Amino acid sequence: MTKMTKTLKIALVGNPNTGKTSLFNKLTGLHKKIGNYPGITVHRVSGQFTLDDGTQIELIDLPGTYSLHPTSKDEEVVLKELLRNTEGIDGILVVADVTNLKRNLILLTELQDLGYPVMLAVNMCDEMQKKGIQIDVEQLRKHLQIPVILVSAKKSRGDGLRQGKGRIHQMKEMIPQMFDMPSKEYFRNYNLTGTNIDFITPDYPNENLYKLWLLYTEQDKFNAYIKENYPKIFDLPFNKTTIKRLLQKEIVKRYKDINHILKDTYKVDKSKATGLTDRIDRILLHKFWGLLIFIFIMFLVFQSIFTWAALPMDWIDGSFSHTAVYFKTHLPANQLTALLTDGLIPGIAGVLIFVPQITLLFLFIALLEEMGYMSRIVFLMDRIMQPFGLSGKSVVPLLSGTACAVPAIMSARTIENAKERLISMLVTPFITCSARLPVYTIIIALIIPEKDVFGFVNLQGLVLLALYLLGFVSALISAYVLSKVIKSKYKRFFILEMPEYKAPILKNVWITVWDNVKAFVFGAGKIIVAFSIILWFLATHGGDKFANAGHYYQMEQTAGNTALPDNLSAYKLEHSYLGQMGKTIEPVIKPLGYDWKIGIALLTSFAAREVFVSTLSTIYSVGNDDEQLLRERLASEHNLITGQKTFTFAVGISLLLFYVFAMQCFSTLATLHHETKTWKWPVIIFFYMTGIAYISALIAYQLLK
Amino acid sequence: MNLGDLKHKQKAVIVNCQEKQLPLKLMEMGCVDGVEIELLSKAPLGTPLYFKMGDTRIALGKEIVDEIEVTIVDNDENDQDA
Repeated sequence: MTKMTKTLKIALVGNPNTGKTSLFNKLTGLHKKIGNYPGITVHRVSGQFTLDDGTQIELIDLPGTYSLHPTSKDEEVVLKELLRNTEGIDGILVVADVTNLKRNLILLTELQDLGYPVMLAVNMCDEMQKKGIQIDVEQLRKHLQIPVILVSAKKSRGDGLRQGKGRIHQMKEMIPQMFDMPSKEYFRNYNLTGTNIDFITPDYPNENLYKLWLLYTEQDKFNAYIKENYPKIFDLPFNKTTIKRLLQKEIVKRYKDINHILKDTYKVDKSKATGLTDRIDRILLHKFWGLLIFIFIMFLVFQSIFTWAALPMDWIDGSFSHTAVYFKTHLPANQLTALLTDGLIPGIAGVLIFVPQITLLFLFIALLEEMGYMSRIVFLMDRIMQPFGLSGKSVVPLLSGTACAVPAIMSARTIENAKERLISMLVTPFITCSARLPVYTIIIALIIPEKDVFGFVNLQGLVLLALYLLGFVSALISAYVLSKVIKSKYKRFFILEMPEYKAPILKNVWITVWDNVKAFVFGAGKIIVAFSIILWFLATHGGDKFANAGHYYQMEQTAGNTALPDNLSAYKLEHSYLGQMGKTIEPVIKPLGYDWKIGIALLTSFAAREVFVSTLSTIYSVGNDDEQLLRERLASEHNLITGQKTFTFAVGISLLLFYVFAMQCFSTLATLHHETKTWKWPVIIFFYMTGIAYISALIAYQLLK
Repeated sequence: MNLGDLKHKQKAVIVNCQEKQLPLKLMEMGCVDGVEIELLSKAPLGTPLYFKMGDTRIALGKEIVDEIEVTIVDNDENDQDA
């Protein structure tokens, strides 16, 4: 038996910092879908709930915006969705901040002018008493001619809890009321002289006036749409300066209307207001203490993903290898078991190993965002980052990149400006991540003498520091280059709202963490598993010499081949597909001073850079990753033809430079793909970084050899 | 005088907003004639600057601040002004 149910599509719209997302979470719980708007890195979030009468509501959370005149890609999404309405949005739920109602209503009147049924939810009503605010909801409802409700997305103490829960339910049930109210218009009465729009309205008699006005003023964003539906708009003269003046006038008129509406419905007793935010800002934005606290918080973030995350990571690593061993001993030894224990299980482990870092990083980010501190980071750091085309918030991904580029790239999500977000993501892989460290350590120990310079500075430590700096500097330079190359039609003005400090809503924090972990595991994670299985296949399969390795190995041993490795597994790796690939690329890497053995290690590094060390251990037949032994083995390695040492100073420096610059991590590429929803940027950054790596390693080797 | 000339904790009122080619977003955020604005603090390198503008707390870059015209409010008027 099926009952006919109605489905309404409602868009959730509001200014940034109004608690819109908290309210969305309250309304829809965890039942939400996160996608992307096609072609851009703006997330599309939607969720569902059911009303008492069975009406299904699909709620679409549009990005926060101050008005329908976009100044960023995110805001452009709102304008495009609402003007073209290809989704079939039935009505709009506007979220406003109680402490800043006047400004919030600008957007609301614009939406009313577009002819949408609208409802207003005045959020954060728990703040009213503290701020000395009084609202006459009934009057406001009459003046605006829409349903109005006071809500709080926050669970507050005492009666607030009871009331808060009830209010959310009440708000849901009020949604259908927005369709019963007569629509109100403001724009029509503004009589903006010089508005050419009057000339074409007779051509489109059934069209909404404000929609035509928006299409006319924002026509550069709607070329195809206008051509198809409203071609007359292009006949009108278009003077940027005149139009800007008219738009300014429009805003002034809207403010006048709103002031009138709020005059006897919204009262603030300023003597009751507590200046908590002022007091906190005095410390957190202080020229000295503010910076010190900022550095301390960043240190804490760094510490958490570098040190605290190590424990659960080791645990994940350990339990997965135990599982693999268990299956290996209990399942029949065949190809399928090998796929499971050497391909799939390590692949999944390779995804889950990132979860502790992502969890901790987003825990911090969500907390700082919820409390209002992220805007302060932008305020403090903008002047320093802006010359490189980065946002003040880019500090977070750049710093997190010292642990791992994967969570770091994800953390760039908090940057509002699409261009700054993209650049931050693209340059983060230059930052020296913890996976490069084992490679650096072993090569430095090999080629840099352990002595002090200036009497007290350890030379090896100094070289390590130089490598870190090199990574950081190349990230900044690349950011600068990218900021000149990537075009943005939006001019950069520094205008940033600084929200009031708030206690974090822990549920929101958890939802943010959960969403990001989920997005990584099921998004980038799939690609990482696929890559690791391919890599496993290439390393464990090969031609005839691989399949019958035992036989050939013995044959060559008796024939007295001096180039033969010391044991069978090294011989097998040499003749696997991967080994063949290493040999194939030898001519390419020879000018850098590498032989095919290093070539194989470079290829396996794609799984994770630290694999370089274990691959060399296999090739040089050093058991159990014994670094001391491996170092000795590498130091004594000679080229059989020339008789020269393989790991000379020149080769070492060349390798170090290669590892500083090269993009050798497919987890990073997979994450970049997932975040930008295109393979264009991962491919560009791969060739860009690897190109720089190749050239600098080439120059270094040729000069030093 | 311009907003950039404002001293720490000094209050002023925005004037002649429409004469200038200010970014539209700024006006949408409440930067219209007659709104009271107060300098709260400056970032370590001098820009951006942090203001209370009407009910909005806002940080603005130096390049915008020098475009906004203001007049100083007399001190005794401060407390009554909304």
